[in-house]
Amino acid sequence: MRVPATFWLGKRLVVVAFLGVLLVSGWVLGPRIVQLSAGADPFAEMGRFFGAALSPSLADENPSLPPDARPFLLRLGESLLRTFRYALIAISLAVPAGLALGFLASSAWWPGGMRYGKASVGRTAIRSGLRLLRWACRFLITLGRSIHELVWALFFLSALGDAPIAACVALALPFAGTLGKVFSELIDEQSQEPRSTLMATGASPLQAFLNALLPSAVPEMLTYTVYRFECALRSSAVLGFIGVETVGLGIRQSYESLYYGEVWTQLYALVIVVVGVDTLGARLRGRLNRGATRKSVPELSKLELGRSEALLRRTAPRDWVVRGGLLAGIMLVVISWTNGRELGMDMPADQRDARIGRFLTKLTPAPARPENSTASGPERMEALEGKGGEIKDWAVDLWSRNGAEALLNTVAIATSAIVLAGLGAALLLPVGSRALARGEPFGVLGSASRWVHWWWCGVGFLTRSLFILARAVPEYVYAFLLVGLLGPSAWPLVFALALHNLGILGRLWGEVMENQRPEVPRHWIQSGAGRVQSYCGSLAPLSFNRFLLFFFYRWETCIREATILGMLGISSLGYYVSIAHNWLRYDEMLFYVLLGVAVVFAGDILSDWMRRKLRGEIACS
Amino acid sequence: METMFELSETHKSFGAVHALSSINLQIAKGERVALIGASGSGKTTLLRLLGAQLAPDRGEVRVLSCNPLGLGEGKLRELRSRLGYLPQDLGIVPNLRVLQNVAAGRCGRRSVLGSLRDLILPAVGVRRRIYELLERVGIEEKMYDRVDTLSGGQQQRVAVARALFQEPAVLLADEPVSAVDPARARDVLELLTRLSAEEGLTLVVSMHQLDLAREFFPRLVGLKHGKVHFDGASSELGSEALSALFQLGDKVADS
Amino acid sequence: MIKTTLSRLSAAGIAGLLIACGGPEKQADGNESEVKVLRFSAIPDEDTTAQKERFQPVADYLSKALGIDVEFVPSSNYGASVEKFENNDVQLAWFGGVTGVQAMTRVEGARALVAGEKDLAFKSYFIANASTGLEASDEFPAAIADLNFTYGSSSSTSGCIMPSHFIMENTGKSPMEFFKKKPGFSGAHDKTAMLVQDGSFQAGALSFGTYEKLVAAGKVDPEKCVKIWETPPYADYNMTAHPSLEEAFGEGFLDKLQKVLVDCQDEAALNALGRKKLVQVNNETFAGIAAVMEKVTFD
Repeated sequence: MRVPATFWLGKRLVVVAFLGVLLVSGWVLGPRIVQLSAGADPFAEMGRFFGAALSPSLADENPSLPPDARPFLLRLGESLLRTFRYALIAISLAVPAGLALGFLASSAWWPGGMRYGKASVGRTAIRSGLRLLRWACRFLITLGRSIHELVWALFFLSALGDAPIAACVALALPFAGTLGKVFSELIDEQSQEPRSTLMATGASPLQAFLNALLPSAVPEMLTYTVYRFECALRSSAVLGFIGVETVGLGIRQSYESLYYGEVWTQLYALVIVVVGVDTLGARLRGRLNRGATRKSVPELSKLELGRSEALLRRTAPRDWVVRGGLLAGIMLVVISWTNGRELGMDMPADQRDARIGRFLTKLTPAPARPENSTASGPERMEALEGKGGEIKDWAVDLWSRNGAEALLNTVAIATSAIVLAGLGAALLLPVGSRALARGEPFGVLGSASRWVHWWWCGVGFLTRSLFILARAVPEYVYAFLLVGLLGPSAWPLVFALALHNLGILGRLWGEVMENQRPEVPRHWIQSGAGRVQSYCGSLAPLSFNRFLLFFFYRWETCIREATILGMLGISSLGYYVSIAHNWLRYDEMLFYVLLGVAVVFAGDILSDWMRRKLRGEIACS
Repeated sequence: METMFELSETHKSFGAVHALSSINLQIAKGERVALIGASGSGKTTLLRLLGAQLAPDRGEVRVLSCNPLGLGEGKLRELRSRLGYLPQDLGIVPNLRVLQNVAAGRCGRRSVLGSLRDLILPAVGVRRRIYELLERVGIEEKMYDRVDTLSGGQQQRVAVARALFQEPAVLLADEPVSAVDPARARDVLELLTRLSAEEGLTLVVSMHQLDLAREFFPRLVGLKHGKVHFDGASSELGSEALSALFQLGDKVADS
Repeated sequence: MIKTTLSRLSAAGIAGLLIACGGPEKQADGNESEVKVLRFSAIPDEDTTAQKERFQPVADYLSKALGIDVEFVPSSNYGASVEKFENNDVQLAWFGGVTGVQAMTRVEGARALVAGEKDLAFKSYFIANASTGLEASDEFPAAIADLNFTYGSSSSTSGCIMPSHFIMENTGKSPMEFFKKKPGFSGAHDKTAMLVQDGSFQAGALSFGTYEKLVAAGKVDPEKCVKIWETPPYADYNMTAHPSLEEAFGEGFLDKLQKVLVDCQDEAALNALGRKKLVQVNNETFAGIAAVMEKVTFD
């Protein structure tokens, strides 16, 4: 029987296409992985670095510090607290903004009441206006997300000086965008039945939304917010690399001065905090999804109405862990806003205007700059007029010299990183799965030996821990260290991104696999297949669409990260952003940032399209 | 007797599909009517027309002596709030408590803030009324439990309680017994008929189990391919006419 | 009953929290006339760990000598220190040559006050890894064009600008044209030395002071990391002051500050700056750097 041509279409094509993309990117980036020259001794430095992993310093290594300086561990503790604090403030800003944007950008919110017959003209006009508002919100969301928090921070810190609030707002903006996007998707994915039932019995659209749609989405929204806080922690640490006083600053300074022991201490501390928050968050999320369980059913028969109702109310199942956790979270937010170094929000208005004015001047392209750095709006417009051609020339010059190549490199880095991560995760997944990696996969009687069982449990545990650790370290830190060790080329960035995303894909894909119905793979194993065969033949195909969903989601994120990682010294967009920033040429910096925005926008659209297609397929299957 | 629903020469199509054609129907107050027919015969569409959720393409629909087409937004909502509706999927929010789901029934009569209050912190009076209601449907001890911890039958009672909380004039139920075993089906229908007798509600239920329909409902309306095949007292109708409704091999319209 | 207990508990908790908060630590804004603080910063050119702790002795000395509050504010990179100065977040800064000129151009009335004694005859060293086979010579080493080369920070005078200037002077080409492979930026002088010593880069340029300090401390082996050329001397580091100090602390304050710095004999403070003695300078001392900055292009 001949294999029909359509056999090769669809998913197989996708997999082959991605491997092809990896090869192409490899060619684009250049084959030399280790950019070191003859006579170099890279392993000496690497050996020294990894050797220090076993003996992290507990005191300052810097000999030129005066003897009464504050001790290293104390400074480390303070910087961790600051990291935590800035992350909390940023999340507390991002969540309300994300809620507002999410509601306005979701399509479930707008279709309005249950129309009876033709809509009136007025109503149609309102509806079109609202649709415009929805598109505007989606645009804002993507814009916020497409500029990395490091870049926002570079801009804000330059415009407003060292105020911590600048760094927090820089963190909050992309997070508000992500929260808004996820919230709107969660709202759209909810079942519409309760909402339409309420509207069928007379509720207004707003009431139906608040009483039926929103409550069903709230647990998942809370869950996601907790997850986002963990991400905010990591991003807050990374902000240190551009000078905000969080953990990243210490890591960078210690590394540059070659105090590797200090670097490892700070790395360990960061990982412990991140993994700790992750674990707590996971517990909280589990309980949110489960809901409280009732402990005992009260005896009602003998009581009269009012008392029995009150008794029921008192014994109603309530989850104190969740309530306590949420209350603790709110209290922590209040504490971070009111304690510690002043956030810098009360700058005198004229000073702030002068700063912003100076910054705006530096942002305008060089040919069109007004003479006075604190020029007013109309004066700036005047300076811009008639300079269109010169601005175009300036932009074309930047593009042809650096922009095009940097763009290509950025996309190549991101794509090869995510493909590598995907390959790694796909290979490691069966070994990390709770259902497969045990003595009795899927509950089917396996080898009787206890050693086999322990072996598989151990392997599974190690793999899952590898995923957790790989995720816990921010990509920027990996890249920073790898560039230092392997030399400045694109491949350390690729590996850094790939390693971090390996952990993320491992976890996301692992969850997909564990949520699959176990009947089919169990059947395979009962029929005599091995674990790997069961995985390849049943679990993987079942989950493939969902795998791809997460794959594209991470690809988008990789593009954003790849534009930044170039700041570590190689030709992706971030490299030129940081050079321009160093030379205080903010207009050029803005140009490269906007290029990055364009790439992320394009990647977003492509990824969105793929994911909608995949969701449609999943829904149909 | 007051006429609750009046349909004359009503047509409804969805695109190229004719869901209902030439429907003439009158339902008086207090009647208990079963709509029977195969799947795809237009039962759900007819119910939704009765519930003032859809407008007909041709012909007239009068609900509670008004034509919904001429009504403004507020009046339309008021009309709908007097119609209780039990969809096939029940339409309850799984992660909310029973109390909150039932309280949502009164949204049509409350302001936005009022319904929010009922959701988050219902007043004592509201709670007591809901408790009484839940006693009548038999699940009062589950009042503060999450709906997704209840069995299917109990969830259905929650939906019934929500509909009752509206204090409607009519109760429209879309296939409430289609997916349940016979014993539970009898329970549900007993509940619905008892409540409608107690409250004086007009009850219109769609289903495809003939024997149950004949047992509980004095009037049967049979639909086939979007047309009324027969309409009369269930005692009068012979078994040949009834089984003609479900003949295999006929084309079935999408509903 | 549980409800009332809970509400009482939470009320108590919140009250306790607010009391414990005690409000934010107020940091005085240097521009307010009620609390006068002089803030100063420095470029992070080497030995960047714990900058604040390292420069504390300088702050202490100035505080004692001037009778006012002095605070050090760390800067994370060269550009940030200039920005802070421009925005009057700091009123005094230990700048390099380029950053000093940037500050003097952007802030009218900014005055260079002092520099280290050796800073007036500052030099850059070009270094190379021993495996390249290059040796010390008096001629400009044009052979580095084929090597993997690293600068220090892209705004560093001795680590980037002046070496580029001399490359342009000696070969007539801009650095990007001169080097066959794109040069990298290590970000700091000591990092340049370590990278070249390791072989991660084959050649580099850094300040002469850092190189000699590292050799003396034994961190750099002059056999492995060879000095191949010395640039002609130029003026580099300086301590520059913002004119707002005159308004904040009264007329003649800048002169007083200058005298205090020149007279400084506090070992700890001088160590922190890495100089043995500070001498008086003025803006013209750095006119040469300003001229170079106009000419050097980068990409």
